[in-house]
Amino acid sequence: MHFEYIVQPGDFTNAGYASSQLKKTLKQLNVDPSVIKRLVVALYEAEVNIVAHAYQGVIYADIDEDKVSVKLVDEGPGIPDINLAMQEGYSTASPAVREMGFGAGMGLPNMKRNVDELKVSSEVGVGTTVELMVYINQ
Amino acid sequence: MKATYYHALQVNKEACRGCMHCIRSCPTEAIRIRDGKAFIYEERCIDCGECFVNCPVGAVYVEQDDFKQIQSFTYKVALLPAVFVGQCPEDISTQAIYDALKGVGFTHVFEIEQMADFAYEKQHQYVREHQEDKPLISTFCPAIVRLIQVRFPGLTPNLILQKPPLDMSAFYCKEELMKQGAKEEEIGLFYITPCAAKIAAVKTPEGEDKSIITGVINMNYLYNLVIKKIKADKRKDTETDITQTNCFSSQGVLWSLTNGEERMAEGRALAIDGVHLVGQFLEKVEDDELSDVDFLELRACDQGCAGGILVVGNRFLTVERLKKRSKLIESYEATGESYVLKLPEDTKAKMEANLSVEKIKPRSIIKLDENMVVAMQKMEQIHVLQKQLPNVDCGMCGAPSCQAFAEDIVKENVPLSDCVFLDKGVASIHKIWKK
Repeated sequence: MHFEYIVQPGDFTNAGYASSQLKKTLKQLNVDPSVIKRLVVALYEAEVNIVAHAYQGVIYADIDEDKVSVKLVDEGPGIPDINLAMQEGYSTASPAVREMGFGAGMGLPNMKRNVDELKVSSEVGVGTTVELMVYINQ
Repeated sequence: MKATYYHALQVNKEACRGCMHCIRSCPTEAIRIRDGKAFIYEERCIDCGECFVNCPVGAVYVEQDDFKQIQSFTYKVALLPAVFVGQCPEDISTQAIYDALKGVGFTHVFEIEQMADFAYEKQHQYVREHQEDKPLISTFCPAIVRLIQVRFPGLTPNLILQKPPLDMSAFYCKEELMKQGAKEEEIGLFYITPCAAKIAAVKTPEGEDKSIITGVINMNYLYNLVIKKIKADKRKDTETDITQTNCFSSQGVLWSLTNGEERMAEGRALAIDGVHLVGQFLEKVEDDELSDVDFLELRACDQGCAGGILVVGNRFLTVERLKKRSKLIESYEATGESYVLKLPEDTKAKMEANLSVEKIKPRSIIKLDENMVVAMQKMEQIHVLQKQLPNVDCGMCGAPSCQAFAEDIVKENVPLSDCVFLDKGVASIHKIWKK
């Protein structure tokens, strides 16, 4: 099953909409709650990243019998050094974003901890693509 | 196979006129109108009482045990929530209420909040020992426990697996009476309930096979008996001897009201009341949007148990009277005095050994099927159906929303022709699904 969600950058009031919707769908599909939780934690982080940094973003989610894959594609500043961004505590978030409780530099490391596969590719000045995947063990 | 759950909430089919107030108010979408009358899915109902409150013709009622049953016991114990006293007019003293309860047949009156201080201590300990399951959720309100089981199955590990003050009180009374020579079979432990959920919790408890409580008496029924007795006795008095009727701490007496647990909790704690608001909040908890919350006090009724559907007095006046009681206790606590019930060491040890309940199992009503592949097929069918439905949630089909109706068609084989909007020409499921 395929789902798409548009993310509005800068709209923190609706940040988390896609992860919440996907959670509802996975609950209906009787996916194990611990798997749902891991995915939602990672997806929420990724979604907030787009809201905080990008100019435009789309989330594509695919649910298969054995796995859930999510691809987040944004047009934005891109990440100059992905390895650095994977380190805990590293953040480029603006002070305004940090004021709202985001931007602690835990985004990518936290995502990695919660999913089975994480792929990040980025081009400076163009945008970032994050792919994450969790296995469903029935 | 469907398990059976006891529900005290029932529909009087004679009185029900098939309006749609209840189906819209239900937080688990448990009610449908079938053949012009309300029908409750028993595996979905959490006994919160929203339908009872919202029914304009009083067609929803709360079943109760026969009051005469207390006569089969030598020791007839009334386990009384403090809101019983709180709801009474202020010109009736607590002592007069106790005396009237004995006048109508009970031999002992025990206010449950006397166990609050013991319960606080045990709850704190549990929260400290289960940090990995944060936020820990109080299991005091049975409607909330059931809400989590059916709508938030992933949060069942967060539930605090300890018995509430009611069960502690019952255990204590039984132990102490037996010490005085009573035989177990001579003791009847009767809970005076402010709501339907507590009845369900006694009849079909979660986390244990059988409740220690003998029977349940509805608070509104007993209120009538007590007031009648007081009027008949022409009793007029004010609070005099408070040492017998205020055996709790100034905080403990407020336990069942909103903030009653949260106020005393350690760490970061939140209190939320009202079943719909609790549902919205639990979505956030499930989305993992809040971190570092240690404890959640969640109650189905606004103002906590003062807002119980069987409480006769106005909820705000009930809260006011209990707060006055709390202030009174505070005044003698300030002088260093305390009438708080002291648990004998041997009884306390037994209570501690008897405190925990087994794991509370999830029973999702959200899943479309046990099997994921089948669930995916059903979801596709629901999506297709939804495009055909008007999505105005008129309720004429008997379901609370077009979404719920689409799910009913796929899960329960409800006929598509129940929708008044659909053109009868296309009103065949197969035609729609083929498109």
